[in-house]
Amino acid sequence: MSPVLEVHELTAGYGSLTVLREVGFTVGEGEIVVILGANGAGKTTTLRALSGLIPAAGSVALHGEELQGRRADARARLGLGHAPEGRGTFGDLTVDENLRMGGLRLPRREVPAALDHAYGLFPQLAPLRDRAAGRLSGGEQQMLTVARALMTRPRLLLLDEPSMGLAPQVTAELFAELGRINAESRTAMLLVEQNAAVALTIAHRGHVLESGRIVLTGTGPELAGNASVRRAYLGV
Amino acid sequence: MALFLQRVIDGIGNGMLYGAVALALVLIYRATGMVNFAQGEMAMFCTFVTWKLADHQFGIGLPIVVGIAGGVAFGFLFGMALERVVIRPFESADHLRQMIVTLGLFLAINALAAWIFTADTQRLASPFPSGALHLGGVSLSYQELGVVGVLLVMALLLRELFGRTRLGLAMRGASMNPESSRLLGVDVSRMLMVGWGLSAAIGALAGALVAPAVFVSPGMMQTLLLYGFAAAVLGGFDSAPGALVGGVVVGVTQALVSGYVSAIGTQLQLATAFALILAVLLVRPQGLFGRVPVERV
Amino acid sequence: MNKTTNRILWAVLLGALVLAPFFVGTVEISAFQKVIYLSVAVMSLNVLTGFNGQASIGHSAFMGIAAYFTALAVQSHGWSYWAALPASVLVAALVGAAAGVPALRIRGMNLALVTLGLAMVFPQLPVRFTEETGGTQGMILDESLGAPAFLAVSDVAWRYWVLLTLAVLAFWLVRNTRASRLGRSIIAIRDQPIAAHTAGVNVAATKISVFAVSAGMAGLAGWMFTVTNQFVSPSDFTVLVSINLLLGMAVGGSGTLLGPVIGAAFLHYVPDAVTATGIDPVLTPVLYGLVLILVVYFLPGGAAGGLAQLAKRFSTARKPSPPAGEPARPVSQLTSSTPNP
Repeated sequence: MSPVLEVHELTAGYGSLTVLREVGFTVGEGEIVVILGANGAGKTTTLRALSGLIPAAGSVALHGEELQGRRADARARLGLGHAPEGRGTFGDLTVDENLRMGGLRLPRREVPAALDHAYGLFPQLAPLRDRAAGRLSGGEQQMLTVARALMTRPRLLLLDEPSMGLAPQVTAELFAELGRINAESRTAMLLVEQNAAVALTIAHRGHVLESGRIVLTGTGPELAGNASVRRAYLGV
Repeated sequence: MALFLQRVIDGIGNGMLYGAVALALVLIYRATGMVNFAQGEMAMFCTFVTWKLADHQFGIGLPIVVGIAGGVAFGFLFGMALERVVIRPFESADHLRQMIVTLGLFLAINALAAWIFTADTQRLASPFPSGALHLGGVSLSYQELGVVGVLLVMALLLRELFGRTRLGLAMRGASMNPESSRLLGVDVSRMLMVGWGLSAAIGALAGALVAPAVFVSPGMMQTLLLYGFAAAVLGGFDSAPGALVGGVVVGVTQALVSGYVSAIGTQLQLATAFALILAVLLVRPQGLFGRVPVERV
Repeated sequence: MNKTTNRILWAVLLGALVLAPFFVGTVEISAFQKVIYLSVAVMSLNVLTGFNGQASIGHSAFMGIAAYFTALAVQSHGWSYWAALPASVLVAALVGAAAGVPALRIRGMNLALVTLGLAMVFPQLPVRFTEETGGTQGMILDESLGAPAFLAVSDVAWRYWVLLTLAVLAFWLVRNTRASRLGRSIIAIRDQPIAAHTAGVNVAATKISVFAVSAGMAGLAGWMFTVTNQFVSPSDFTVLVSINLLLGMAVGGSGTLLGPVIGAAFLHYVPDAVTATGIDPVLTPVLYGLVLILVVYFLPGGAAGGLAQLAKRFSTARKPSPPAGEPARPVSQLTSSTPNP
């Protein structure tokens, strides 16, 4: 059986600047894979290339189906969920409407249940359902983008630095939630993170990205135990 | 007093039409960040289609209501086609180029209408009965009442569309944050296309409603476009209710100014719209309803 | 092309233009006059776009203001054309400055709206004051700008030379300003308004000045219009004229001296050419509109820009120069994988 995601020789950049060079990895059924790297290593570029937001060379297959040559919206409809970093919310739409944007492709009658499910996963969002997303805190917005991506019922969820700008306590809660979602629904996840410590608490496998190349690969515990990872990303 | 009231009422009637044109402009601006200078010409073209469908002498002679429905439907398709063929290549171009492209459309549609239909002025029947309601010295013509009624219904339908339907939600999302919309599987380009279609359909309706008063000709919408711009600027350019209220303000101001300031007369009524645009830009550039913009250079 | 050949070419071109009245007929000369004032009008738009990065839909009004000012001054108040020249240019510049103030605020499209309003309102002014201006009928001037008797040249040739001289002066002024320190700093403001503002430059005053100069130059074209035609009417200065001028700018391209001339020649000669092919002249604006859209899409530099690029390619093809490499494209063009059709 083919893995959920299979990436070969992915090369991408902006104009004449190549950010990502021939990167390859896979994400298996029910797996959480993390890509670690410093600022500018090419983490966000990787996800944007996978989602079709920027042009890229190489091959990207979702459940054996080639995604290259398809537009971003078509990839999303094939089951690629993407929770972008930072301000990915619809600022003037309410929390509820943001989630409904995620549920646009669901059968109409399943939307209420999907909304209930989302609020079940992130109970903090429930009392805010009628508030404009732009007025939420950073952490709440981060949860909203994750919840919204989950509303699409993705076969693979791409998560772009969910810890960015969050207090350590909030980060820990969010990652615990991600781990729970993965355990319950077996949703495969590809996570890019700078915060290795918290990412490795839930990742099954991981890669380290430096200057656009994968320089290190291993299981979660292996990476957590690796001397260079510990030095560079765990600060020990 | 009665004269004053009468002028206000006439102003409201006209103002709703300006509001409708402004609404069409705002729809496109919100969806694509584009100011569509061809909006009036698109509406004019659709009104000619209505005329062709409804006119007994030169056209098919269908009932006027059917003709208007046909013109509006044509407008929807026309707007979508223009977006797909002409506008989409310039989706990410700068304002200057976008402006020049819509001005190119202005020229082309204007001349095309004169060539396909006629350069002469034509009469279009009104869907409303003639005559008026008389209430204590003030008369409300059925034409005015009808225009206001139809446009209010249109505004409510639009509110339903954007507030309650999936299509409306997707359109709002696509214009607010195209990238996030794509990541959720929304075909953003198609939403922009629908936005242009809707906008052109609203313009077609406004054109058909104003035609009994200004007649049908290739130049019929040019002054109306400026009133529409004034209304849109007054409303803040990105607010749909603002566009309608702005239209009414423009209409009433125009009626009062041309009624009481004799130097303006009938020939310079358009100057009121221009003066309003200037005043709003100087005093309250974000309009009555728009939010305060960030950029300020 | 190197600098010397460039200069020689310009000298030959100018010489030919100066001597033209001795070789071609009156009809051609008055056609040349029209091309000259159209060139000046298109150049005035170029000034605005080049220095301010803005576009105006109102330059028909500035032309009209100066044209009507001249017509009224000469016909009704006994001025000479020469006295009306500086005055009409000044009036157009002042109206331009006044229009520039609200247009500067916030959104870039505001200038377009304000100038559109000007262009639409202006043709109604003569109608409002029909007694003085003849209204929609327009007004004919009895007096013409005649040649001084001692020169013993025809009036037509004299008017042509006057227009040519003024146009050359205007073009020369624009060229020198663009090359000067002042010009470069204005362009810096266009590209980096916030930085310039922070550096203490009065951005608003600079932009308004540029706008006034541009409007004044359109006024010069308006004066030339009245001198050439001895007739003004509201329909000569509608918003469609403004759009045509923008077309002239787009076709000719901004940033070169030749561009406005190419654009003006296009505006003057293409309608006749269209009629000559047997196409209904009603359709000429359709062609204009299509050309406008296509030029913006395929030739953002206009015809003159396209020529310059060709020339560059030609000269680099002969010299074995290192490949230029792909110019870095802005990120905005790459953020979507959807290829623009």
